[in-house]
Amino acid sequence: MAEGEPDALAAAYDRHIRAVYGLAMRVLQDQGDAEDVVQEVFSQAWTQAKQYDATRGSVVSWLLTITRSRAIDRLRSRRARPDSAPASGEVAVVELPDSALGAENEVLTAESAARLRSALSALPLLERVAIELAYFEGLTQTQVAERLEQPIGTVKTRIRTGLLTLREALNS
Amino acid sequence: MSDTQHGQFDALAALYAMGALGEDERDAFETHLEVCVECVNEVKSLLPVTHGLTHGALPLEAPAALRARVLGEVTGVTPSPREAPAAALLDTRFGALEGSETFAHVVEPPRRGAGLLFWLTATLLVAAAGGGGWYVSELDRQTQGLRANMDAAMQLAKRAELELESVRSAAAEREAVLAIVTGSDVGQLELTGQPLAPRASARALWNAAADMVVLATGLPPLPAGDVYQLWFVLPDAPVSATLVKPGPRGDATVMLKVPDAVTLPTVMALTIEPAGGVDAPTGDVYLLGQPAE
Repeated sequence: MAEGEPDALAAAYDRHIRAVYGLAMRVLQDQGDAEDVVQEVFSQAWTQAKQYDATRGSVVSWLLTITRSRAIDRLRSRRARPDSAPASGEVAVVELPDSALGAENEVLTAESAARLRSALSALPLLERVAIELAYFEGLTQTQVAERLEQPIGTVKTRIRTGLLTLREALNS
Repeated sequence: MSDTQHGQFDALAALYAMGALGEDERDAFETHLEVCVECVNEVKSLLPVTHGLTHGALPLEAPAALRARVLGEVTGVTPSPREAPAAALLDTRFGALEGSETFAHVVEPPRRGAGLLFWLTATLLVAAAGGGGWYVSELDRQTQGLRANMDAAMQLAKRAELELESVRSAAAEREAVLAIVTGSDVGQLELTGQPLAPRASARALWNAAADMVVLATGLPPLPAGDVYQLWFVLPDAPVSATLVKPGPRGDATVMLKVPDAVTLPTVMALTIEPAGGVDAPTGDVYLLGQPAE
């Protein structure tokens, strides 16, 4: 794909479209918007293919990171009224902080992905909701607290406790 | 970095790894990261989780037309068709053979028309054998016709009876709902739609006798084999309230008796679960209601 070979992009599309489309639908809940995001994701992957570093993670992780970012961007523009300023506390989509720390992404195996999904389902309801709002809607802790009508300290604790549980499940 | 200063940031590593800090908080935390190895290690240990969550969404089949649109517009080249998976290839090669005319005659199913022709011929032969036989046969045919009409009439009557019962039941339910909603001792909790059902909402109302009615609207259609399940989310563990099956327009009205173990108001949630319900919630949350603090 980095060589500008259309067949390579087609192969990547065929291999990863279900994961990319599933994540776009998970965030946006709208088929038209999800299809537009898929288009943006593969367009970005095509133009930035030379920047992809295989040592930092798998292709699918790279595509999914772009998908989350583009989908949340679109979700926010859909939420914002055309004649209004961004909502209070709204910030640009926060890229997950791997590059800043020089941390290498671990390649997630199918088994560990399934273990993570299962652990997420098993979290106490309110921890799961807080994590999903932050992660799949790109809300900050303040916005999650507003959405759930809970004190910010409670939300902070729930997200942290939930993440630590997930980390334990992933490492087990 | 003193312990006191680290303590201010200790809880933020998880939120930073999630990308859930506001801009100012993030800037402050990143400044702290430059001098705090402990927090750097904590964030690093959480990154596999947050990156792994992108795999947390269920993979879905995209519309077939999307492939040509995306690949065509991105590369400017008409894409070659998707290679058929091995199973599809086998179907293509051998499925057609099974359905071909070459084999169609080998195992031919019996034709209904052929059987009818046989019996008609037999009946004619019997009729030709004597007029009395024909008369008996005709009487039998008429009797069977009358019996079929009577069965149809009975079915209509039964259906009308069921519809009447349904109307009576709906009227009784409406009265019971009204009794709760208009009572002087009514408590209520609003449930709001979550990301999977942003247009959904519900209101739970209850009286001192622990009768509760939940009025929901805008619920998305259920996938086959699934059901909505309503929960009282108690501090120890969620307690199932009832199963909820919305109508075709996504509306639902359910009545239930609040269990003794539940003290209202409490957090309530609606999740999607396998048919028949489950003992503890496992599916996505569609509605969530929290009492005012």
